[in-house]
Amino acid sequence: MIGRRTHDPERDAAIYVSGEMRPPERRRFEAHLLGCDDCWREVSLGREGRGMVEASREIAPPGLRDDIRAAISVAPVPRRLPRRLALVAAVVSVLAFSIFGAAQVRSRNQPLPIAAALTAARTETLAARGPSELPAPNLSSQGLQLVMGERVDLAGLTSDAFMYRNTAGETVLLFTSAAPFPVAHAATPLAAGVNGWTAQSDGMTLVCGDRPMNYLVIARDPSLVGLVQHGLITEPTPS
Amino acid sequence: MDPREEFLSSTMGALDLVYNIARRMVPSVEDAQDLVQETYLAAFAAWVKGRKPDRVEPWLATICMNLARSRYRREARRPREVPMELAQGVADPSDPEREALASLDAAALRRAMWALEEGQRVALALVDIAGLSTREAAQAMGTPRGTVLSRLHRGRRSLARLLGDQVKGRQA
Repeated sequence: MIGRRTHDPERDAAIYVSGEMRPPERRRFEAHLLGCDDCWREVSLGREGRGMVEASREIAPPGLRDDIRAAISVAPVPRRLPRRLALVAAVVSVLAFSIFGAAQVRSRNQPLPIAAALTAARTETLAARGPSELPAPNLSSQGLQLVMGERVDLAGLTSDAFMYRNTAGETVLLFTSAAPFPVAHAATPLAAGVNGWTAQSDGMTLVCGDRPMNYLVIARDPSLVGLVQHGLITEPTPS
Repeated sequence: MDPREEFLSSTMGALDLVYNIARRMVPSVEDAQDLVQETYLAAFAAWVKGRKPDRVEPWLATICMNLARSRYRREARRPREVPMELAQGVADPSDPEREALASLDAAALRRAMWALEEGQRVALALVDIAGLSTREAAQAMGTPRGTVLSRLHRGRRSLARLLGDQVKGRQA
């Protein structure tokens, strides 16, 4: 600052306009300003520019808060495990977080449970609250092998989530719940005589129905969704 | 307390701050929203591993900037003209200068911001919008404080020169 080092109008103006001068320094600088055209000009421009930056401040869109809550609600939380298992879990969680981090959440305008389910499907990550309470439907006749089944919280909607994989390695997620799932944004009704809806979101196909239980199926490949739906109707008995 | 709730209650207050930084790191609203969500997910991943900061604002700002640099670097480097759909000026009716600033054409303001060098734009976002100190901004940007001060002042000065006539016209 002034009196302690070389006269530097840019630096002094930056500190002064940022409000970071201590009172004694500020008083000295303000006294100096009255007699220094360079510093006066730089401070004037700095103040003006700062006002413009402040005027450009924006408010986050209302839906963004909900999207973040939905994404966090399905983000994995590490559990306490025995040491050997903990190492495996650490590797898995690093992979999961990598996938999560890479994923771009685009479930805008969706009800929170739907947005949370979409995030889980897109990232192939289930944030378990515990083991699933209902047994997994056996869909092996559809060429789908169970990968995991967990109890999850979809932004307040308790659900059992089952992940299946086909021989090509593609995944499909089945969510079941005692409570009905909310209707997705821009959903269309299923065929006449069948309660439920279908929708497209984030490159995913969603199908929701209420028989033989409240269910929601999500996959990138629509044919996989159809296989699960068909399997639920034709082979409702749990494995 | 559930770690998710603890995280959200500690960090959601900084959402506007992170969003404003993201808006100055990537050009489109959509990309900015994605960047904010990625920031929160990455922050949560660190949070549940016990890395809880003393102050969430500089911590989130740093994560946001690092993500933007690693994922959007190429796009962010080149200034582009984009609409400022959600810009909202903060006007104080008792202050004619503020009022004139708030009524500045939002698109012109945004174009002017994007005409600045990235380092200047980020320094302005961190200090003048997010309210970080220049020391915190220096830490977040990984540069000496002197560099931040220089970028700050040059950015402010450039904006004042680019748009000053508009403000004076409205005040008159």
